[in-house]
Amino acid sequence: MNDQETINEEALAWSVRAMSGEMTVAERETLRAWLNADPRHAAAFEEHEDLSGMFDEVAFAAAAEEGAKELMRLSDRKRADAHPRETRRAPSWRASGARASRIAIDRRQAVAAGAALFVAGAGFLLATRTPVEPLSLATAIGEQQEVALEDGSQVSLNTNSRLSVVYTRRERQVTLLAGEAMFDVEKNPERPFIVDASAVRIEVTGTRFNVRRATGGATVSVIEGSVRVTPAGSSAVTLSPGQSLFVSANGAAEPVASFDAGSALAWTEGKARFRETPLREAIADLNRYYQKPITLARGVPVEAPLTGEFDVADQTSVVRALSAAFSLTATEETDRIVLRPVG
Amino acid sequence: MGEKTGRSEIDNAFREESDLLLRWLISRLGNRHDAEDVMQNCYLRILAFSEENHIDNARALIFRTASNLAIDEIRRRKRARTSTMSPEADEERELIANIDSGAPDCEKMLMTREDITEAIEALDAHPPNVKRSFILSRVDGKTYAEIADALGVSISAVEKYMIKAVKTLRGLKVEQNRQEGVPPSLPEPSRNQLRRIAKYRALLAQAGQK
Repeated sequence: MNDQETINEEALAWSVRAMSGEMTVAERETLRAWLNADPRHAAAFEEHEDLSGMFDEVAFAAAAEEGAKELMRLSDRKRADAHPRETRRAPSWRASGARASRIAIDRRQAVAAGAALFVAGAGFLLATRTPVEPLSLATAIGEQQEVALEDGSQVSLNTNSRLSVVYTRRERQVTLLAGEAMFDVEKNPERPFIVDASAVRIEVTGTRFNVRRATGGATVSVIEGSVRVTPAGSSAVTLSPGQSLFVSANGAAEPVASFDAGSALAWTEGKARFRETPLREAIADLNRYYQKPITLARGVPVEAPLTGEFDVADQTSVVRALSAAFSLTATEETDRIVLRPVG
Repeated sequence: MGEKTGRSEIDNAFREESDLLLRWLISRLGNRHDAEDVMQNCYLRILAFSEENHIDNARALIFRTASNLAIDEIRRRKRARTSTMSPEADEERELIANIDSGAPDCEKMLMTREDITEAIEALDAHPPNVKRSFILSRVDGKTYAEIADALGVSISAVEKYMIKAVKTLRGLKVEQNRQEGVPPSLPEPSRNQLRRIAKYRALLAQAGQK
């Protein structure tokens, strides 16, 4: 290798180092010294720098191509997969009702789907932003949304929810600012996934759980794996599948309870399921989905237990079903729907 | 063949893919607002295109256009971020780097379409991580540490990928220049660009600057 070739190799290596976006002060000094040592060094380096415009052109063109390819792959997979969401849930808990020990999602399929997405998307599902710029997700009233995060983790957002995501080298940080979200987290012990919601912090390395915020606090429900929950006002506790914990806004935690997965997760299928739920509470839950809230007039049995399943998208049929179940009539006003006892 | 593609055909294709597309765009662009903008523009562009052209594969065109528009946005962001010291340097860079990412009609580029295709093929000759790292670095602005994380390799591996990518492209450029009889230095701006730069320099000189 002659002199000029050696210089070109060095210039190339320096150029690549400079492109890393994380040159140390010492490295910069060494580079400066190398550039000053010989005018040919500077010329060779300059030549590489001049090529950066061309690199960008190629890189952007390649990225555009890969993006289109990836979209096609995802679309093809969606078509081939008749029921993409169902494959990620084991039939066991739906058929038999929820019992703590039986909440075992068919993780193999979930992992396969998640892993395939990640491998196919490595580099292209990465959102583009500097580390300090958070990813903002929000849903309108009545809207639901599912988003893939850059590591392959999935977030499902329920109605009227807001989420902020910042991934750093050491951790995956999420803040649930409002509403409800279900997380399917890619396993990575090196980079814990942390969710802050109201006065509680949730930490996992990779698993599936639901977080719901209300004005009074937040509820964490674990679907799979183990989840470490730290209320602001008490010591951390580890939850297992089937367990849920409510932490009030002032940080106080209630005792760990078990939750009915069929009811708690019905929202991810666009439904609301109630089992002996006081009518007042069920209405509050349903109203999250509607611009016009349903209100109960005097005389309506607000504590009466409600059991049933509703398709939340259709408010009219929900109102009709409730009216029928409790002998009520519905009156629509400009900003709400009022239910009154018949007669 | 020469029939124009029906509006309803395009609407159907869009409706089928819009869910997936929106989610992908949100993931790529980091927020819903920009994602919806891109979707809107994508739809309008394809509609316009369909008025004059037959579309064989609506789905492929939708994905290509959406990806190009997303890349355009990312490129805009990158330029805004790396805007440097002097406004003159900015302007000059703007003049020289007049690039479009390949929508149905694009302006004269620094490199021809064929050059770019050749370059991408050259990158594809290497293991896929080489092109991936290159894109993550130049497009997404990720540091090598972040790329190492994303790909599950070491930082020095990423450096090796980058060196391979840069070496390949540099070699190609040298070869392309040689074929065109251009001395091995700055990629040749087009004649229009040269004229604009000369005019600009004259203006600066008039204003008494360097």
